[in-house]
Amino acid sequence: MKVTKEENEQCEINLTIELDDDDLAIYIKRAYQKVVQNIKIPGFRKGKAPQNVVEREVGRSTLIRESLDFLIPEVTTKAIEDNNITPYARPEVSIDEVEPFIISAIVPLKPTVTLGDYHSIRLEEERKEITNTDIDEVIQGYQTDSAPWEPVSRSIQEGDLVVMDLKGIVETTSEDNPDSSIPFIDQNDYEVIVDKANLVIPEFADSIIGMNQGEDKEFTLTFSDEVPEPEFAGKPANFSVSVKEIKERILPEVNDEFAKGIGEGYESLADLREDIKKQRTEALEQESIRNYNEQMIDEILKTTTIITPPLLVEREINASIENMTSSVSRQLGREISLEEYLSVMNKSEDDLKEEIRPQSIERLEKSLLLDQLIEEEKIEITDNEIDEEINRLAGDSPQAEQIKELFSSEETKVSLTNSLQIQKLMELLTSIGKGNIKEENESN
Amino acid sequence: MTMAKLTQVILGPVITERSSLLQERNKYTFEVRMDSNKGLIKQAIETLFEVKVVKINIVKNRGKARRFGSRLVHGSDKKKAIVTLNPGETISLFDGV
Repeated sequence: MKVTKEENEQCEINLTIELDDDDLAIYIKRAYQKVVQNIKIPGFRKGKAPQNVVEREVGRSTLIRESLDFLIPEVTTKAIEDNNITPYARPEVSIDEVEPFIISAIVPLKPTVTLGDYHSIRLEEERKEITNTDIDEVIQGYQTDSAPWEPVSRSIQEGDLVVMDLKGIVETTSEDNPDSSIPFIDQNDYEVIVDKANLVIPEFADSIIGMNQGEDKEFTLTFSDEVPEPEFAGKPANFSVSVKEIKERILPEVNDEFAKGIGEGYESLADLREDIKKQRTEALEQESIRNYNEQMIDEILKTTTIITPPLLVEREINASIENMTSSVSRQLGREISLEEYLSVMNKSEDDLKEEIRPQSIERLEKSLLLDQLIEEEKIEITDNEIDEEINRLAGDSPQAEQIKELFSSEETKVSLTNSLQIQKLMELLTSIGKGNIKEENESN
Repeated sequence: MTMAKLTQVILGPVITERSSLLQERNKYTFEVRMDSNKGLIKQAIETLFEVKVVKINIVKNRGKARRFGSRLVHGSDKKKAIVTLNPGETISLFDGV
């Protein structure tokens, strides 16, 4: 076995492995032992033909092909061991030549993460305060949710619900179909909320505002260029409307009664406001911690040089493509292939790969950075801490025992350790960013 | 006998499980012409493969009779020669191609 080793600057080692006939003979023999069980050669019972007869029958190249399944992993593992390489991930192997037999393997090494002076990064935390207007907005939401629609006898105003018979015909002039009209809506008792922001054609609201019950009207409007159906974009449409009923939303008065009516056990309006404030503040705090952590990581990433083997990047990209298709499959409730997905998206595979490349690299680099930081800061999690976390997660729910059992497997413990490590790391980084770390830590 | 006729005596190797086993004991099995005899086969093997023949055993296989309707059809007969060589000698016709 002849191995040539070549290390490139992107943390990868290229191994070229040449096998001579003696090396191959062992693998061919094993392939023969596998093949002979399934092959019928005249003059021999199944599984009894000698190797030279089988080799003549199926050909040497077939035997080599059969042997690849175990040949490639064994040979590359051996070559990697012989050269004292510590691979970071599964190597990528390709067959260059069969005669003589040469394979090449790309072995990704541990990415080098060179941390910058992240201890000197200072970052202000953006804190948002909850204001009275925020609370008012939430309360308005409650108000409109619970508001009943009441019929009124006046002309249409903005914000009304209008029940109408609606007909719409769009005039399309395409080349093969000049001057044709497509009726796209024809519905009786159609309900429209007169709200400019949410109508497909905002001018529709203007056209019907001021109409009275029982009134009929015809008018022409033009679709904007951004409508979802491309064949309608920019085309004029004739509408004929006959108003049947006009309803107005009666907003309930905001008072203690209203607060009680929400049914969450609020005693008074003040009570409700207090609770909304509490909830919103908590949510905001969580959000700002999350943002802060993200910004901190981004900042550290800027000072860090990471060399990632391209192979790992490719794999990350492929993995995220797989994720995308499988999540689409779940949404559709059926399996879809990558080809199908691409044709729907109207993209080539290469385009898609290039498109998600930057975010894949970023994701990969962030996770490498976190690993490196955990190592650098010697963040360790004791079994005690894991147990505590499990107890916390289990809480005092009735299924506490089952939850504990769920977390007791080695695998989940590892992932739990990891998430605890990241949690601890983030606390540390936060205190670095806010300048709360004392000199003693920096001198260590 | 001329060379041309000697090459016709031997029709080909017999490669079966049994013949493979015999080979281990330096016995090579050939299919030969029905009208050949031990002397002729010995001469042919020795000239064609440049080996020394120690012993020859001959087996005749009668073709099977099959009935097609009312007609009785006879398959062709064949003759096999099991040739024992001097220890250490081999015939290369049998391994690989």
